[in-house]
Amino acid sequence: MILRSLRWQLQVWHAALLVVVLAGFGVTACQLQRASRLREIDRELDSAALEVLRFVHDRDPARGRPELPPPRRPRLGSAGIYFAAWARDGSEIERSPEAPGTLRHPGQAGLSPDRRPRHVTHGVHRESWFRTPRGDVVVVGRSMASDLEGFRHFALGLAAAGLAVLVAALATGAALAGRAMRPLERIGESARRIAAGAHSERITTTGLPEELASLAGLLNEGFDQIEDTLARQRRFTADASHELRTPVSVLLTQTQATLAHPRSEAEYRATLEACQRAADRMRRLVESMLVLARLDSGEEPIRREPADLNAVAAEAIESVLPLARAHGIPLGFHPAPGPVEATVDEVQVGQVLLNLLGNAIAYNRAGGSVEVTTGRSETGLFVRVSDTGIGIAPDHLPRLFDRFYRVDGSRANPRGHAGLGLAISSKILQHHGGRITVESEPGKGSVFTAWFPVTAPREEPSREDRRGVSG
Amino acid sequence: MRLLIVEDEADLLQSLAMATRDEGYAVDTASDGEEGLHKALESPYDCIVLDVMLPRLDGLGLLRRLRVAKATPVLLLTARDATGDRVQGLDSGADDYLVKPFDLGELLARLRAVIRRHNGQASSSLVIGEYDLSLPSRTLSKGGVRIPLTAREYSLLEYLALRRGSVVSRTELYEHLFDENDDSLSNLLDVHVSKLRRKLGTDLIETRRGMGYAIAG
Repeated sequence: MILRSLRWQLQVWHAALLVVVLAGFGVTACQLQRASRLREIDRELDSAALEVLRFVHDRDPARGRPELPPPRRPRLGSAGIYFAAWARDGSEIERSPEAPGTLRHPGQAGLSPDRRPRHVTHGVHRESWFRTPRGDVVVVGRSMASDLEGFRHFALGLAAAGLAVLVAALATGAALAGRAMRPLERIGESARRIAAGAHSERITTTGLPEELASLAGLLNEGFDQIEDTLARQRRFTADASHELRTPVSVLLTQTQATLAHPRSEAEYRATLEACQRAADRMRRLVESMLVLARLDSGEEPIRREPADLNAVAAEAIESVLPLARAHGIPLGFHPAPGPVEATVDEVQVGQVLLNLLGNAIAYNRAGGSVEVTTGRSETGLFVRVSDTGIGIAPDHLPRLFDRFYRVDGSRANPRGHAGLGLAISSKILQHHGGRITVESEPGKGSVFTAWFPVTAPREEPSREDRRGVSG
Repeated sequence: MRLLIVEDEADLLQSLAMATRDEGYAVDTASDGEEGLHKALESPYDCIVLDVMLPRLDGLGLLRRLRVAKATPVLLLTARDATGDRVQGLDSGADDYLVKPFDLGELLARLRAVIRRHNGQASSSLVIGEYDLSLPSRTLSKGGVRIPLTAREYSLLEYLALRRGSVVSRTELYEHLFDENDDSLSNLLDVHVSKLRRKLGTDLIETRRGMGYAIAG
């Protein structure tokens, strides 16, 4: 678990690298120190050897100077140095009392072939072997025990210093890694708070390193989208419950007021009719919301087939003729010559046209008219519904297709709709790869145009289409 | 007591009018903001029940324009229950609000409370001499025995009782006890007053000649 942490991985690598560097440094230092100490000992032994060599030379009877007193034996014991000398024939000439008992003539093989001293380490002893021009062999040596002890102290000190450096470096490294991680942790904390419900909070990008700032920017964009979606969902739910309040109020007050006192049959009937109207309104609202929810989730099946928009429009016009007659509004139809072939779901497009025609009739004025035109243009195929009604003020146009949006603040619009008709129409057109546009002038009338792509749209296949493909 | 109900949903308006008329109120109705404002400025209402979402002129707009001229108590009906909306409603000059859907009983209780408070009456029952007037049950009793009154008689007595100690003109009484569609003759008032006096004794309601009627404070 801890090894998955970026911070700890950095720390481990940092520590490993430091250990290697420090160990290399320490080992090298120890070796250098050891070599230099040995050289010192060797020099010491070599200078001490001069005295022994002179003694060996002076006591040689072959020199023929018997008048001279016998040479003084070298006194080296006080310096901790022992010595021994052998004649050419291998007989021992002299041996200091400090010399270890194991000290023996090494034989010719153990000596250097020339006159240079040969330095050897025997256990804790360091020795320097010489051969005189006459063939005598001299050895000078001493114990290195105290040097080894010093060397051990040196190595321990070095190791302790190395450890201290390692600890200090690791602590600094941890602090640096912590500092490098802090912006990441800050991002994480912000993200956690946002996920926990602070949907409008964002990660502060100021002061972040460049790499993290761009990451935080991306995250913020994601949060924006999520918040937007949530807000839309919340608004839709609030609007929906809001829309239900009025019919429920009607049901409650009608029944409560009526039941408070005995009523005539006509009064009971009127109350029941009012309740029926309220229930009907609730049914329409619930149905519209269901249609929208299905369109949103892509569950509403769209069965797109080649169809003639002229025929679809004619059918819609026929359906609303009774309504138009009741309002005294004449309907005109101007189809484009020849069939206007589009690949559409006829039922859904029929719904769109019924909605547009219903609005055009309901929001018309006495003596007005409604004209339906079909056609083709560079931007696509279209069905246009123009009315000579009250029109829509420009400030309402941008929100006209929003859910539950009503131009009039009132909820009792002439069609008894909850402000979902145009939202549904727009969504259906969107699913067809088309769109719906509006032009309007208050007092003169409105023109709604449903646009369809010339060829079947591929960019937004519905679930139904995919099902069709897979069999 | 005379009410104005401004509500654009016809079925809701009709049932509210029915329920308040049953309670003895004289009720006028309006189905859009402009008509509502016109009536509210025109006639002296004891309370206005005002929907917030209205065509032509919304409820809050109506309220602000009404408040320039009049202090008529207003009970807001709103479909929005966010705190901000309620605050905005009250700050626009409403005396109380109810969120839809509401219980009719609560609406009637709030109406009584708003009217009572507007007349400086904190308690919901009044003691007039040896009589007890209960506003919630719209009854008059003496020593625990209920005295039967017609709706009109009760309304007349209640109106005078809430303005105890001050003289109420015949015109004012007429305006507050009859709605706009009621073309009863104004001398009907005298008939109701004399009927009340027959039931309650002649001393309770005083006649101030040339000024009106009063119940001593």
